[in-house]
Amino acid sequence: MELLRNNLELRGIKEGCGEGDCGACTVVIGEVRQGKVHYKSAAGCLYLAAKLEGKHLITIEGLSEKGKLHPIQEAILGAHATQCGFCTPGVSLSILALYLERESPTREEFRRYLEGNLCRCTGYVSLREVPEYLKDLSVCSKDIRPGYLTETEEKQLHFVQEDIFVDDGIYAYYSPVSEDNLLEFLHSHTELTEGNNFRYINGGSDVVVGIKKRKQHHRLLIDLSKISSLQDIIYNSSMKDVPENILVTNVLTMGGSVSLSRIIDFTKKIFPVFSEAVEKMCSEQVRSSATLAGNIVNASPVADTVPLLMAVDAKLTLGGPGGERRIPVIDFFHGYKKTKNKTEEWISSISIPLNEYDFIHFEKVSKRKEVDISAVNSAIALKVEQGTITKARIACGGVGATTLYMPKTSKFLEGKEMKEETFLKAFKVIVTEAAPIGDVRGSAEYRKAMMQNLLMKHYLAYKTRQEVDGYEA
Amino acid sequence: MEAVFADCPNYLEGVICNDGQEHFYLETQSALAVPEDTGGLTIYSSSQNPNEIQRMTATVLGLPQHQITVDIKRLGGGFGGKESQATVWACLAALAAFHTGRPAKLCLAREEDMLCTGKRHAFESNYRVAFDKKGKILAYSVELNSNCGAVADVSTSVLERAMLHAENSYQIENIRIIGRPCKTNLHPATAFRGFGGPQGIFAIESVLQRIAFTLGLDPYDVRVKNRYRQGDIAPYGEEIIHAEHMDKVFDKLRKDSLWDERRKNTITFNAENKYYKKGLSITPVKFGISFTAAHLNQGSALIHVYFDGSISVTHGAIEMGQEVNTKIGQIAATNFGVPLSYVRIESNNTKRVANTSPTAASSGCDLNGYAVEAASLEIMKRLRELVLKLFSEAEVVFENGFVYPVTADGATYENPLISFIELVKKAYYERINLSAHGFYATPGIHFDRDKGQGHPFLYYVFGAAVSEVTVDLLTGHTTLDYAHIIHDCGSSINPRVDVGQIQGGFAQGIGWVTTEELVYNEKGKLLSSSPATYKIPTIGDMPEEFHIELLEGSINEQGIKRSKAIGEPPFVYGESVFFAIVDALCSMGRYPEELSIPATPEKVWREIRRNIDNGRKE
Repeated sequence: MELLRNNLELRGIKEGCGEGDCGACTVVIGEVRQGKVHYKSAAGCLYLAAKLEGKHLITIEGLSEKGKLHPIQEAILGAHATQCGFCTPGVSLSILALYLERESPTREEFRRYLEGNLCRCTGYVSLREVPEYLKDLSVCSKDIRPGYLTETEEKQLHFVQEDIFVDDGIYAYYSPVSEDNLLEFLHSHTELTEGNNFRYINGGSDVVVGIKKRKQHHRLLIDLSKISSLQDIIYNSSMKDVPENILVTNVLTMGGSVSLSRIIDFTKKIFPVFSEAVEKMCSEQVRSSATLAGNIVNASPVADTVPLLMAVDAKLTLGGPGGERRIPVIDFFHGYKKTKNKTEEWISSISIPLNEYDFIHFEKVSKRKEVDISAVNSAIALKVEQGTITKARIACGGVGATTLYMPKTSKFLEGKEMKEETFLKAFKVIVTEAAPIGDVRGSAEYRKAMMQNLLMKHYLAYKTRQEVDGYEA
Repeated sequence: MEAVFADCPNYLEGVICNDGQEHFYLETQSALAVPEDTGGLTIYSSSQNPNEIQRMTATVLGLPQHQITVDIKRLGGGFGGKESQATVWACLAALAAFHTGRPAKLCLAREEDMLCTGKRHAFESNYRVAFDKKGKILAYSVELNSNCGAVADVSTSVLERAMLHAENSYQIENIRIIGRPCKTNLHPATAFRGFGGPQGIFAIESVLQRIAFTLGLDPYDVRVKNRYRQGDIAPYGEEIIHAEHMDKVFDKLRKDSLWDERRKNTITFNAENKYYKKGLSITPVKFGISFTAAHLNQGSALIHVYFDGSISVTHGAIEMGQEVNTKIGQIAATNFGVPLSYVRIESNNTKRVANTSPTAASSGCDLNGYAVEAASLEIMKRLRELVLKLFSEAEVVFENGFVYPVTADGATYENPLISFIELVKKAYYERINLSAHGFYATPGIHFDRDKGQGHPFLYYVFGAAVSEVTVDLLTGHTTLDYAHIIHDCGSSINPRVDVGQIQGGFAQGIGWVTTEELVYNEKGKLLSSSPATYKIPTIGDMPEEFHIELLEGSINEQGIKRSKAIGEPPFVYGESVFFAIVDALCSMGRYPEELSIPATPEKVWREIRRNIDNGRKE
């Protein structure tokens, strides 16, 4: 945002909050992944200019061509979806990102892409009509794509990825393209890493907020986002469409630089509860760059992916100068914002065993349904045989200094009947496993109650699923 | 009144609270001051009140007002938060520019803005009410205590409007309204869409809701029973003109929202569901239009018609997303009989329009639209005289950029006498003045503060909203399933604009009553000081099923082009969501007396727990 507004004097981008929560600074970024150019919306206030190397940045100034409004702008006007107009550049670019990736987006996808664009004037009702107006304008994907895209796409496909290293003596930035290069760098630049005043950065949704709002400056930032081996998602199933109810343990392995947006899309079929949980986190502008590894390593007690990862017993693979090592997510945290990875270690992948449970579920409570941080969250994984719980794992966030795995409650449920009463009885057990404190997002008392009530919500979700699917006799 | 309370078997008393609300205009407070080579400064400010900025910077710098020019094109949202609270930032920028001789710009970061600028007034209201067994209020006494913060700002006016709306849409024979502005150590509270109206209305609506619960009556019926009828007089002595519109709204909304069917379904749903409860509500609005400070009810405009027929319009209102420029452009184009493209609305500039009132109280279009009307009719009078001179036609119409003769059968559109552009050219050569200043002062408004009597409003806006919610009893989460609004905006100048204002006002209202929570620490520092912790509605918070109707056949003789003001009244519809939550909780057998605005999930959950504890005791 500072580069665009101050250096390039492109002032269509607006600052509404400067911390990735309002969407007024939304830009579209085109980047090459696996031989294809993909587009995403991004929060301009959190996106470091150095990351733009080899990418295509589209700002609102690039939307209309030859003095003619872009169809998206026409549709916004037609739907009366702009009032004061301050949020409108960001809104327009969120819609552009959506239509560049999906030819005819669903209502749900439209909401997913727009929920991060706060508007205080319109009440969003007119905005929801924009897709209809685009249809009425008989807009096809060709009209949506700005004329210059083909040219820039060709350029990008031939772009050679190399390490980037800049150092002005006060701040340094290093962006390697491979883990080997990174190891080599760590070995040869110990003067920058000593004193531990360096940070790994990926999507930057936490690190950049820290730099901007909390003045947490670092001597060196090492950007992991261009390391191609960290971009892989591997699912060891040969089947493309995985039939349901197949109880073979497959492992889903996601690289440390895989963005939350890609995870939503990839896990929609094979691990829908995970997809839904990630979709409830932050906004598309943030998810498109933020990573699962970042959500874990940030070690927030209200990280929304962590309870699920604990419930299914996911494991982390850490890379670093001392070689690779694996650690279960439940053993990774010790104390508020503290993890067991060493300063120079990074998360190279996260492995999730699938199909080991009959029922996996996630619940969160927050003030607002979307784009809000949890007061409490909770995940459960159950194996149920003939109406009896044979295996249970429960984890809760927002009730302690870290996300907590709940061994007593898990054990309590095992061997019990899968019915409401069992869960009601478990209320008494789960409160003994954590002592939540109160803050701006919820009081201690509310959190304690939610820890219990979310257990019941898990049960109710199971019952609903059973009614719908005839799930687990 | 005390005799009524003493004798009445149906009597309730209690406390009703609402928190404040952050404006969260997307554009934070900002100002740019540029020194002029002839001395003085030009100030570009994100303000709803250029006149005050001019006066205050002149005072701060010790300059006469003519040395300060304030120029404002548009704002990235205002909602009242830039009525008085934009001034200090403009003064600071002006001070820096004045002493350095260089341009100075000041923009607040979001957190700074949220920490130190004013919010909506929190209220704590004590009430006593007596009513008959059919729910008709016999006596209502309310003390509205308003948390004004550390500085008076516009607090007394806000409180006054709260008091003037304390009876909302209801005829109450015995009424006592007391207002107390309370000084506290918090940041000063200020104007915010509705300006005290929503707080006064919230108290009486809460009382009616509780009466309905106490008597086991449908809240809709109790409201209809108490409504104003044609000829009724408000507690401050003014007749509620067109009160019969409220009847129309009540009747039509009951039908169109399928209220009775919804009520039945709600009862069935609540009987069948242990962990979810549905609630249904109706919230009517009667909103008085005019500044309660009578001197502010004035507007001004300056119009130039240029040689080529293009028209420049400057008026005293500020465009901040409410599309006042669209409406005023339409008014000018209609009066000149030209396409909208002939008209350009200029920035608000203190050199072109002076001594303007803040754009507030929903009055921007009325006051300045009338001023534009006066200026345009003045120029048209001169042009008509020229037409008479040129064509000897006394009866002509100006339309689509042409002048047509009128015969006994009406206008003859085939053969125009002359185009507007040609006529303007001829007027120039005839040395006719093609510029005019227009002025408007709202007639007949007066209010005696000492007696609490008078005629403070030019007219009233009416409407009502029905909302249906589902409350998750395990978490306290609310989902707004359905909303239906019928709104009386007279003969709308631009229905799309008015509907947009209703949608946006409703959304802000939903935010205020549900998720927007100002959390302070024990020292009064705001903790929810960024969008990470202060949650305004997103696209997913609006109901999937949402209907808005503009009341048909309504004509407002007092408003510009027979329209009604639109900005603030729809905000109050948000309260219907609060009362739908109350209704859902009432289905558990107890009135959630302690629930206050905002009904966050945690606060709703606390009421659910009280319900459960209550059940256990019994």
